[in-house]
Amino acid sequence: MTLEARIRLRLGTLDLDVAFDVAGGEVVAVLGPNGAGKTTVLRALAGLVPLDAGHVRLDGRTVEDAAAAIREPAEQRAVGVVFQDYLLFPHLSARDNVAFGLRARGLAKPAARRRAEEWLARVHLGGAAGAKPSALSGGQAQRVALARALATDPALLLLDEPLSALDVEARLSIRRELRVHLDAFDGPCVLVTHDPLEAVTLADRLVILEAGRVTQSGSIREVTSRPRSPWVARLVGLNLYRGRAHGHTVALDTGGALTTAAAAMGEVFLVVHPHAVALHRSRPEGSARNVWCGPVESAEANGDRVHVRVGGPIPVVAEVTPAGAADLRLAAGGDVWVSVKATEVDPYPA
Amino acid sequence: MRLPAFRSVCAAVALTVAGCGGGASAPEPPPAGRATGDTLSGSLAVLAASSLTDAFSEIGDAFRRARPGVELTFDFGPSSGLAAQVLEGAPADVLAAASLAPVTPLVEAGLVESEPQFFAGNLLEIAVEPGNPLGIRALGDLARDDVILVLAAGEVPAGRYADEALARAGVDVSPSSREADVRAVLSKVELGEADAGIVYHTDVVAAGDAVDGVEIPAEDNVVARYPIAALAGSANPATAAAFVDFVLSAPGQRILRAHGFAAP
Amino acid sequence: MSGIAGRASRPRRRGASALPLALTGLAVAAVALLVLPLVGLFLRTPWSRLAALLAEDRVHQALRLSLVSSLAALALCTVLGVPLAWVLARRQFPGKRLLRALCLLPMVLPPVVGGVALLVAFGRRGFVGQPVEQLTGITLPFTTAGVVLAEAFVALPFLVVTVEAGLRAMDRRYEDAAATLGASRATTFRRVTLPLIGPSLAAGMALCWARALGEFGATITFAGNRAGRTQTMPLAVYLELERDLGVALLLSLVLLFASVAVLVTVRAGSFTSP
Repeated sequence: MTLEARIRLRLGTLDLDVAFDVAGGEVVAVLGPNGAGKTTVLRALAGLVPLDAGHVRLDGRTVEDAAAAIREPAEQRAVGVVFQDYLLFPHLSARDNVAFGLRARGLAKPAARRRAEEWLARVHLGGAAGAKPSALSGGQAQRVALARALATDPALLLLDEPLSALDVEARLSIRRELRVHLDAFDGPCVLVTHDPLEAVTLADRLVILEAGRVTQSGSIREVTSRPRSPWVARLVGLNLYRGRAHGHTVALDTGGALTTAAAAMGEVFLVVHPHAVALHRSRPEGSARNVWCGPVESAEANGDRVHVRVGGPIPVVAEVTPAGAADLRLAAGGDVWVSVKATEVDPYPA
Repeated sequence: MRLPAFRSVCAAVALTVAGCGGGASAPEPPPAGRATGDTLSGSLAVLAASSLTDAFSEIGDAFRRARPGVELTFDFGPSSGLAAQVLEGAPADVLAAASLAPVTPLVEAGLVESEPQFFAGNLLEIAVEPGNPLGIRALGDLARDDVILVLAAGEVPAGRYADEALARAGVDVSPSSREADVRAVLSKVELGEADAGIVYHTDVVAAGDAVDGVEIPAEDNVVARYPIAALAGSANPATAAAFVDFVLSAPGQRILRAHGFAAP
Repeated sequence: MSGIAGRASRPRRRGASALPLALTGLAVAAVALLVLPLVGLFLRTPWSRLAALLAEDRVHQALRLSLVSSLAALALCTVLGVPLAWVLARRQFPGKRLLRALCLLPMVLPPVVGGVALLVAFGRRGFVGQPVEQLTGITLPFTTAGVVLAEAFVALPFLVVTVEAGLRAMDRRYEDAAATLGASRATTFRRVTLPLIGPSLAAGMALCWARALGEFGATITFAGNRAGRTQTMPLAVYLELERDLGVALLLSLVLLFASVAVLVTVRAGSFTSP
């Protein structure tokens, strides 16, 4: 069971153009800032929003094709959706909520209720079958919503920010459980979130969505070690630059140049980890090939590290120890010298 | 909401407001043709049966011409409803009803200034569609199956009189509706919803071309005798009495005849 | 420093209690406006004549007719009004604002004017009524069906307005959720939308029924007044005023009690408050 999604549509101010595939059993997280269009992608896959162009194919079967004027309405698609606020029907018990999809698809009431109770037991809510949603805790409601989506045996599972409505403690345990269920689900699963932790712990692959466009997609390792957009770089805490490489020198788009240990040609991204950045009060002498001067913009304590933001021609975030920061009197501001070894500057094709 | 009640309230408000300002007016010149000795001014609220609407409006105009300075307001409605208002203490100066029955309790309660006097008579008549397509000639025709008949409700004078006339003629009818007042009976015939209705002769006259009238012979007909009385609670007894006199006088009677009323 | 607590609390407390006091005062005035006339009614009613009155045929007829016609009007309004409310709340089309204004028209029209309008359309000479009579022989004036139509005409806007508001206020994503679970539009409407707007629907139906029950001007103008067929309780009360105020008061209270009995039976109060 595979998902092939080519989604192009305009909704209000959002201009969405995405393409990605999901294999059976795979969990892909669509990660992006708020307003990027993530929920719209989900709604398009569920059939709640029509495509302007493109297609959606599930298991080779065309579920929607704008050009061929094929469109299966939501109620005919075998899609299970867990909504951000769960949207459990408030007038129905947990059992009847889970049974809803089964009954809507023609199963008789007693049989549907039995299946519903099985699923509730699977999410460890056997005792709460008769409770109304208002009597459930956040974590319980989330589990009922998941059971409701999975009970109809969907071909595609969609999750919209599944953990965001939960408090921190609930999130930990629910995340573990959710991972178990996702592993057990053998169809494609698309998870939409703005929380990188959620994405990284639940997904196999990431698709980064920014302002309606996919800026990067790949395995978690790839994306987190080689970001391709400033947003992702900020998310994973890396310094990201873009420029034109010619051998060991890269002319940065924003001005200035950096020297790399590895040779490269053409358009490249450069990544520098903050802990590879050293700061000095005077021009350092040493083997580091990349040395420049810039004003201290801010210095924030972060656990047992201090993150120092340095502006100037090549903005950079350095990670130093509190003692180091104190020694350099970084809090006072002023100019500071930055040095980065060429071996710490990692180029990869843009 | 009952229209007469609403209008009574308005009349009461108008009276109160006018009464506040009435004292400051300059003395009027004595009215032509009447030597009363006191000047007539202020406002007068006259409660009159619906069937008097057109006639009394004209009488009102004539009265105003003869007595400028008098502010005259009319409240038309079913006689019993108007009498009930007076019983409940609604401020009014003159009551002109379509029968004596509703006025009697007022007399007993001492609410009238003097004995009510009959000022007009009204005969019953059958109103039918113009051209009388169903060929209704007598009260007996009203019992036909193909005639949709409406009468005024038994609680109002017109209805009682109609029942009496039908009883006298020995006719048993099954009216489709008993309307709240005689004007509603007329409008049902005018609108074509009813084929026939028993109304007053004056209603047929007032409707002009909209309905045709079929006379009811004198032996079966009932004459509604209309009483008029100045009310004891009037704030303007002299003017009230003057109005009653005017209605009874030659000019008033002439106007009443012109609208189809008979002698009392 | 110690003065701050005292200074901050005193003005805030005075200001804080003024608003609830003013609101309570106005609420009491509202209750007085509603209750005093009823109290007056109770005090003036000649209770001793109640038994004799209740034995009268015409009272049974009028009461039964009122209840039957108002409930029939309610059914008609519900069947027609809920779809209309749905269209107004969910669909976009040119002229929608005009349509909504038209739907509210019966609320604004004086009932008698409404009755005349009904005659113009559905009377024997009406532009709809006349062809219908010629084709089928069916007329509406002077019939119980006419009473039901007149009551439905004046009461429909109450139901439409309330249900439309409920549909607008409802979170439409529940309908999305139902769709993703495989429910057809009809199933979604039946099992999700209707239950979710339950309180609005119940409130709308209660208002609609109450309005139909109390209707007078349009019914007497359109359907007339005939005992057993078109004489509803409000008509009986009005006519009785011509004759016997005491009996009119009694009849009013009989109608009042009958309405309360129905409302209590249906437990309408529990619907309107969640």
